[in-house]
Amino acid sequence: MSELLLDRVADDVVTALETGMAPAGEHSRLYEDLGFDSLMLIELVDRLQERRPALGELPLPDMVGGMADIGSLTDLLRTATEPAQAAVQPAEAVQPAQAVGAEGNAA
Amino acid sequence: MTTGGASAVLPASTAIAEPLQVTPQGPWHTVRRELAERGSVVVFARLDDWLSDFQPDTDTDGTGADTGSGAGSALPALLGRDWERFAQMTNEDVRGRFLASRLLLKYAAAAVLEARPADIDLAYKPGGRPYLRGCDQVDISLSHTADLLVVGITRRGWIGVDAELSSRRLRGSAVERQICTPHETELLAQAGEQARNTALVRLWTLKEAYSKAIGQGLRFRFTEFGFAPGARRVQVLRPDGTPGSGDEWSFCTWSVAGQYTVSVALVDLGFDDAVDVAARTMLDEGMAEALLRRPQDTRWTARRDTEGPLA
Repeated sequence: MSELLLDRVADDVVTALETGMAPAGEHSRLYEDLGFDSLMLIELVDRLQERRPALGELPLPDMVGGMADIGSLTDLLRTATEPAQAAVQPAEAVQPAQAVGAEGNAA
Repeated sequence: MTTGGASAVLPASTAIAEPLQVTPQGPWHTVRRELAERGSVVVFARLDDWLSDFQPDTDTDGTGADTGSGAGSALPALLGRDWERFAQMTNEDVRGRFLASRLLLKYAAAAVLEARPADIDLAYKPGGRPYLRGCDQVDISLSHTADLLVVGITRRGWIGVDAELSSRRLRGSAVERQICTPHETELLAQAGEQARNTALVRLWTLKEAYSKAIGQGLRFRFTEFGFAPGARRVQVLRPDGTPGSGDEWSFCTWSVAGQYTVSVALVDLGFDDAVDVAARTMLDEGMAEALLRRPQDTRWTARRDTEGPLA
């Protein structure tokens, strides 16, 4: 079950990165809605790197603050791989980091 | 899950005793005694034991509005600042574990602070680390997975707990690649497949417990500190395997209920002078009265007053 969920989320995020569209389930929260735990977050990041090598190294500690939902995770990856474009975005367009709700520290 | 189902898989530290199984009915006097005698206590519980007494009333509009009059109607007051987040959760399994873990934590904290669960103000630091607002004399940590809930409480310093299904497959996964130091990878390579998975689950729970204790959680790089799989004395190691922490840290791992691995990390910061951590003792009189006064809704509370953590 969790393998299928991991594959689906990874596919949705990669598709969104490739098409420039919003990901399916954009507002689905990884913990509260999809039931991710800490180990699943690690697996998800690994699947994203595997499916889209251009993302490069994705250390979880650097990402965990921006993985609250599928949309924020996609935005985080877009920003990480498009630094030049992100640099010319107006300041008000930059969303504040959202902490993952996976209870990484609480549970 | 059976009662009393915890056993050490490593030599138990004198600072941390075997986890105690609890239900809403206790035994809370044992929890209080454990904290008084050792300075720390770890409790575990079965999810259903806590959910059966606290089913939320139907919330048809999803706003978190209090719609019933049963035990569930006391949940908003009992969950406090967690109520809004709980009410917006859509995943039933997540909701159940979130609710039960907060109830367990509040009952356990209430027992050692000699307060009532609804008066425990559970708050979160910016990184997500839970703490008891206004009760700095004790540190807390919680973990839940599948059917298991675990809470650690200490008055010695900082504590972190973590639980995982012992059968969870980690060998050969991204987790194995992303949490192990070079030294750990070298040691694990010498083990058979089953032993390697057992060691990995233990390493994962130890690292999570340690990272929670220092307030970092997943923001800490798990490849930059480690433990020696199978070592008799558990201590934090640098990536090359040399010692990285002193005697102030204690670690322990247990097998709980025959199917879970539970680890605890505890650092003794010398906060052991105050044996009496009761909220009334630690607060000034006016503050204690305001914090511990009886709430207006007494139906549920009256029942818990006789059966709850102060029993």
